[in-house]
Amino acid sequence: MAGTISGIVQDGKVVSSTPLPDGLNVQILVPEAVGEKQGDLRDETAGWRVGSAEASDGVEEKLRAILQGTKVLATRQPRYSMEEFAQRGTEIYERVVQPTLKPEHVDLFLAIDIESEDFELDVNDCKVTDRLHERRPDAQIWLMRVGHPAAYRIGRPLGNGGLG
Amino acid sequence: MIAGTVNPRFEIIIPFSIHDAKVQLHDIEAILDTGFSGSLSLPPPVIAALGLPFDSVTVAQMADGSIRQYANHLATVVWDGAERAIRVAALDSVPLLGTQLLIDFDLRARFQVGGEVEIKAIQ
Repeated sequence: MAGTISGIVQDGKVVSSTPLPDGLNVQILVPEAVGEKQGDLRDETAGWRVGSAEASDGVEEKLRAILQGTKVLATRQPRYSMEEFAQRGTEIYERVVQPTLKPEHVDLFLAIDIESEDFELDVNDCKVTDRLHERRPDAQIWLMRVGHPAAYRIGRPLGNGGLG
Repeated sequence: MIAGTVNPRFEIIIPFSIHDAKVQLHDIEAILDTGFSGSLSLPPPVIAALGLPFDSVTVAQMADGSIRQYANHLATVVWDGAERAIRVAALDSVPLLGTQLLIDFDLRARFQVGGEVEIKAIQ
């Protein structure tokens, strides 16, 4: 058996996304940006905390139950930092996608694979990335919305999440 | 019909359930935020614990006009008795329920502490 199989590091061990036979010799190729990438994702969690004595509803209690009771390994992971997604995505949008757009594409969600530069357009944010993943199962997708500064809007202030 | 409640901070709390990557159901509650145009946000550690697969990196415009990038993950929730595939935003926040899950539903809320909230499919 030969080929490239992806996986993630969990508790210091490499966990492959595909079951591998015992005794198989493997080589682990660490992507250059890996340290930076994981730091980036960890930074995202840093501002969030569970625990507020003032909490008057079960919202946090439910979250805590999930954090304590579950450990499931996700199969698909990002391979770039948020900044790299934004930079590459924007660059591909301007160079490859924008010249092909028509006025009727305004308001559609746009999913761009920042590796293959393939893209899909759809009114639905689930369908658009599903379709790109069907064509490119390993796609690293930058999701935006044609004619908008962002794909979504969020009205509520974030960071510590109003938990305190 | 989905039944929620108004909490003492006058926020609308909606209970529902979400599948983890092993298709086990977990009860969850989220604050309804009509300023959020997505479906659901969850804190990154909760997304990791549920094993929700990474879908894409996307971008949102915040209330102050600033732009913020975050990851979207795949999830299936049970919404009004039916399974529904959604995207979950990984955000440092209490779970937020956005307007995308309200499309084709009526929303009625009694804004008193403990007041009843009804989210009902439009017939």
